Amino acid sequence: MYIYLLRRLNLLVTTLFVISVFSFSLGHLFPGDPVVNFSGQQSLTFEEYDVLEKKLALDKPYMVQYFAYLERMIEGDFGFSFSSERHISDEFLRVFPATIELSVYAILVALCIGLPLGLLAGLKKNKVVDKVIFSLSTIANSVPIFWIGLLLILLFSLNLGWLPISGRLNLLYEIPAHTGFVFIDIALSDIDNKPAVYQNAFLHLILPTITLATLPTTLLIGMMRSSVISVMNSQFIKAARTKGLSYYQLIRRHVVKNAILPILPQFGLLFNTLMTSAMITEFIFSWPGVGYWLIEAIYQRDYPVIQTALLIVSAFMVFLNVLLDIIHSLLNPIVRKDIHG
Amino acid sequence: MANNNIYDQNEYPGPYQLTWSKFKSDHPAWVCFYLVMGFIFVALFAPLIAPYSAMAQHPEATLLPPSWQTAGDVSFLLGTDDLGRDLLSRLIYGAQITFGLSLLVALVAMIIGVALGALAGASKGLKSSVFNHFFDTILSIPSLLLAIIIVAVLGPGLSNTIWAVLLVLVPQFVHSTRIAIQAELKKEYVTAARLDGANEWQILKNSVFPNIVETLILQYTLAVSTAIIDIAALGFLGLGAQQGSPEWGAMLSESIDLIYRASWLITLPGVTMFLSLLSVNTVGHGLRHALKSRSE
Repeated sequence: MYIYLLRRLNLLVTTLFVISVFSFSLGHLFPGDPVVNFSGQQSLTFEEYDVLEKKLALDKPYMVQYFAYLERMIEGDFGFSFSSERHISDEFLRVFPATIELSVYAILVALCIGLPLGLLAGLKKNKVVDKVIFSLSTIANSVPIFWIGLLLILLFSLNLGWLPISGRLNLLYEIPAHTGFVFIDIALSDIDNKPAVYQNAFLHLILPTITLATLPTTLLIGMMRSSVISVMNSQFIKAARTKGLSYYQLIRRHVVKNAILPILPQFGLLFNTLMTSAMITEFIFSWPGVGYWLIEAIYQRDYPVIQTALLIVSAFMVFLNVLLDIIHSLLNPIVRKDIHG
Repeated sequence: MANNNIYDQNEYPGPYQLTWSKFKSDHPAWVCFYLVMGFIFVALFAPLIAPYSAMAQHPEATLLPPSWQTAGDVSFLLGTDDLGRDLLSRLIYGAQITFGLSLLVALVAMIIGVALGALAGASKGLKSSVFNHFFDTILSIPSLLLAIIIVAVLGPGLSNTIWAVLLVLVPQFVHSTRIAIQAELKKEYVTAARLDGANEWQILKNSVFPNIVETLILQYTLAVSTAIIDIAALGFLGLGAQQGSPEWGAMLSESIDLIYRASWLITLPGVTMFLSLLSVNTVGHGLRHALKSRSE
């Protein structure tokens, strides 16, 4: 077990190393002066430039530069944004909760819809129910996410007028941002008529959540279906059946748990899809999250922000993947034997 | 029925033929295969099929709805946009960009990726470990994010999008090729070939490669679908094909302002994109199914 953990940590460290080298080299690859790109300060006098160059160790060889860069990253000093001229770390802490909030709701919706449907499809393999669920999920899998978002806006916001088009909250309500999570912020604020504000925040959430949840749901259905099919074919199900367990008991006690376990490591793929979809969803619904921030930064050639966003988001993804692997090995004893991972 | 076979010999289909016949018996996949062929045909002969040029503006006919609506005009079958450009022609030329380029990019990525993957799959020890870690890193970054980053370095534009998608797809091919080759190398017939004195190259060429071709084709369909989505998404975000280009994603983002006035400019490119993705995905799925049922 410890060897397994060590190998995973080794993978984590190597991967983070490669990502940080890539992010570091971006500072030199982007057009413009490295000192400006790394610090994010555009209007410098010659004296300030020299001081900053010394401070960032950019006059030294690449190796020294890299370690200085790494040190700054660990301290959380990412420089300034070109466009807003604020600390990138502050900016990031402002946008990150919004993305996490949206993603968590989307993944909850995906789990609540995807797992039961996948289970049902797997149990009724090759029957009508299975075919309907599977075709629907294949179709939903092929709809481009940006088109779904636009269609939902067209239908529910423009034609029916039920739901708001964009943003997180009606502009009438001024909620000070403490945590960045909209519901917690509302709870912390001392605004009148809180139920109406909650309702408004909820209405703003519906369309982005549906848009974002579509792709992960179809993936979950597919994973769960094939996992359930392979579990249903295994020997212990036959044994349980011969012992006389009812169909419901069989599914509740044996199938569900054993089917969910093998798909845990595939959740990494799920989070990757979620991350990509989140960027486009945020763009369509003007949701102030990481994806919107990054795409805006690209429009404005805000190189320090692009560099930092890449570093943090990829590091976060890698971290999540390794964490999933470790959780999976803690829950699933079969994997632990396979120490080489 | 009379038996025409005068030879007392049964014909057994080879593995490729078996996959092919299994694939053909899967009706949705077969229909979608024709759809893919149709898209390829349209992409190849776009200038011959399209009634107008993609850029031709008709000032007397702006924002015409599709011809089946009362206000529509049959000479503009799917309607026109705010500059009076024929939507059908733009969709046809868009097939050339979004669909045709995706096929080509995925093909190039496959050639590079398989070559690198063969190198990685055949090597052992430290070299292979470094390779694995490197590609696992790249694979753990979502493809669209990676493409966006590459576009951010290179600058927006269609050609840079193509490079970005290529760079995103190559590691996926390397990964799947490496895994397929390593699984194949463990099998006994490879050991037999090795005992016969075959060298690494001969084993790779004669034993391993014919057995992983289908896996690679499967990966190719996945890559094409990723490429279509990524090219269209970058076009939509304004980082890929520039405004005015008939690329499907760029067409969508251009029509957002007109969403209330001319909803067909949103729905029809979306439907086209959806059909192309659905057909590619279904062909891939049918192929996977055929391979699976063959091995059973």
